[in-house]
Amino acid sequence: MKSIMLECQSVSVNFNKFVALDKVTLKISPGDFFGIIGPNGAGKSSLIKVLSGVLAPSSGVVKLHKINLGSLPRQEIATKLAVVVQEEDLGVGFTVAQYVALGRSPHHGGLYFENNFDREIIQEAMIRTQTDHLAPRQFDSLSGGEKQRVRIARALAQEPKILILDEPTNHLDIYSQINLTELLAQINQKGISVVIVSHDINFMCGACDQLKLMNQGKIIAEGGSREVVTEENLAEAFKVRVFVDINPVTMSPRITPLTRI
Amino acid sequence: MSTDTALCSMTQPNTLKKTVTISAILTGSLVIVSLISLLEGTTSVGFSDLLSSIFHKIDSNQGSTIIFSYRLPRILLACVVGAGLACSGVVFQGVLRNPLADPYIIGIAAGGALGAVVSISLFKWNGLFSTSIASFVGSLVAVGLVYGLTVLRKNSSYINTVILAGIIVGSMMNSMMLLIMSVTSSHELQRVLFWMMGDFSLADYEKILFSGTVVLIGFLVIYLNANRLNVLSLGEESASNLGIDVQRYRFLLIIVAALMTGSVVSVAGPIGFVGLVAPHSMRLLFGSDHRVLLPTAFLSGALFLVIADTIARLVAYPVELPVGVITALSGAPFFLYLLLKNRN
Repeated sequence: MKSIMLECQSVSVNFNKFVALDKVTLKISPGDFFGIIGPNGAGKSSLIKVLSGVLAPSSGVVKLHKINLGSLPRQEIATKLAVVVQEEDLGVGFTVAQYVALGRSPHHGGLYFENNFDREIIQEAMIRTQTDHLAPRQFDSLSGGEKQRVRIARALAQEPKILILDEPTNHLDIYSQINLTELLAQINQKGISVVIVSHDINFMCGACDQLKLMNQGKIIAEGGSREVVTEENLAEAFKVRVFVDINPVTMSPRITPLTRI
Repeated sequence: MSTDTALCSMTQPNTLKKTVTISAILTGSLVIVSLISLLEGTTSVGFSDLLSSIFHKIDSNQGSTIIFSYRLPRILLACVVGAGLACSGVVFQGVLRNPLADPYIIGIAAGGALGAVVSISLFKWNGLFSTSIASFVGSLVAVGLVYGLTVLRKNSSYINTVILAGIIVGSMMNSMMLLIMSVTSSHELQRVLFWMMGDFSLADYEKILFSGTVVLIGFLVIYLNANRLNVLSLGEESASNLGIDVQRYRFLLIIVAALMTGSVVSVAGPIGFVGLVAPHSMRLLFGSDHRVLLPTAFLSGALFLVIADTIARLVAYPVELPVGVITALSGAPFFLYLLLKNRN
C-alpha cells in the first residue's frame, strides 16, 4: 500500500451559508498524477486553497505527512508543496532568473543571497522547463505560455514533493498546451506528485489518466478518465448534454458539447 | 547536479556583489556631494579651513561655526530624511503592490503632518519626541484608513483603490490640518508654519540623533526582510504558497515604514517626491530585487535630498527656497526621463 503524503479527511468549507466544499476526502501519494475537473463554482479553487493551507477548513482535517497542516509553519509547508496559481502579474518587475530564484525562499530566512547549491537548483529548474534562455528577460514581457513555464520553474525551485496547478491552460495556445503536458509528465517521472485542477476537460483527458469530477463542493466521480468522463456524469455536473467518444490517436475520452439541459 | 557553476553565473548575476558595488559608488557620491555642500554657500569655506577645523578643533572662527553649527546638521538631516522617505517608499510600493505608493501620494505623510500639527496647536507639546510620536500616530491612522478602504473594496482594481483611498485620506487629513490651523493662536501658528515649510534651516543634532536612530533601525529591520518583501510583491496567494506568513510580515513592514515616515515628517515637515523618485530611479537602473533596491534607494534618497537642499540654499541667493520646491521641480522631469528611457 502506498504511503500518503497529503490528505484531507471529510473537509468542508462554508462561506456564510454557501457551501464551497462538502465533506471532501482526498489523498495524494508519492508518484500520483491526477486531475480535478468540474464546472465553475464546483469548489476546485477552494480545494486547492485548503490543500495548500491558505484556507482553513470549516470542519475536517488536512494532514501533510500525518501532521495537521494548520499546526505547521507556512515555510515548512512550502518546502514540500508548491502551488502554481493564476496570478495578476502586474508590477512584478523581476527578471525571469530573479522570479525563479524566489522559489528558494522557503529554504531560507528573511535575508539571504543564493549560494552555489541554490543557484544550481534554480538553473536546473529553468533547464527542465526550457526557460534558461529567458533568464535575463523581464517576466512581465513574456508570452502566456512562457510565463506559465516560468511559474512552474519557480515551483520546481522549491524542491517540492507535490506540485498543484490551478487552471494551467488558461490563455495557452495548443503548442503551449502540448508543451505543458509533456513537461508535467517529465516532472512526474522525476518522482513529484502532480495534481492539475481545470475545467478544460479535453486537455485533462489527454494529460491525466486519473480524474476526479467535482460538483457543488463534492467529488461525484473518480477513477480512470473513461470512467469519469461519461455523458451522465458531465450532464449532472455541467448541466449540458455532451457527446463523448474515444480519441482514436490518444485512446482517451473526447467530448463535444451539444446543448444545455 | 548536471549543471555547473559557470553556467549558473551566466544566467544568475551575483546579487551580493552587485549590491555592494552599487552601494559603494552611491556612498562615495554622497560623501563627495556632502563635502561640496559643506564648503559651498554664501560664505565659501576652503578645504584647508575644514581640515583645520576638524583636526585642530578650532571652534571659534567663522568657518568652523558655519560648518558645524549650520551646514553639517543641515546636510546630515537631509541625508536622514531622504534615506527614510526613500526606504519607506520602497516598502509601501512593494507591500501595497503599487508603483505609485509614495508616502505623500497615498496620504501617509499628510497623516504624519496632521499628527504633528495637532500636537503643536492643540496639545501645545513642544518636545521633539512628543511631536514625533503624534506624527507617527497620524501616519499610522492614515495607513490604517488607506488599507481599510482597500480591503473594503477588494473586488475592484487594487492599484486604483490604493491611489483613490490615499487621495481621499490625504485630502481629509489636509482639511483637518487647515481647520486646526484656522483656530490656532498666532504664536503656535508661527511654529506650525515654520514646520510646514519643510526645510532644513532649523536642523540641529537632537533632531538628527532622534530621526537618524529611527531611520537606521527601521532600515535594518526592513532589510532583514528584503527577501520576504520580494515574495510579498508577488501578491498574497503566491507569497503564502512560497512560505510567507503574509499578515504578519505585511503588518510588520507597514508599521516600520509608517514609523520612519512619521519620524522624518516630524523633524523636516512635508517634502514630496523623494519616496517616489529615489526608489523608481534605482528600480529602473538596477531592477526590482529588494536586496539591491533597499540599500540603493536608501543612499540615493539621501543623495537626492542633499543635492536638492544645496541647490535650494544657493540658487536664488540671498533668498533660500523651500527644499520641497526643488525636489518637485527636479524630481518630476527626472522621473519622466527615466520612464521614457526605459519605455521598452
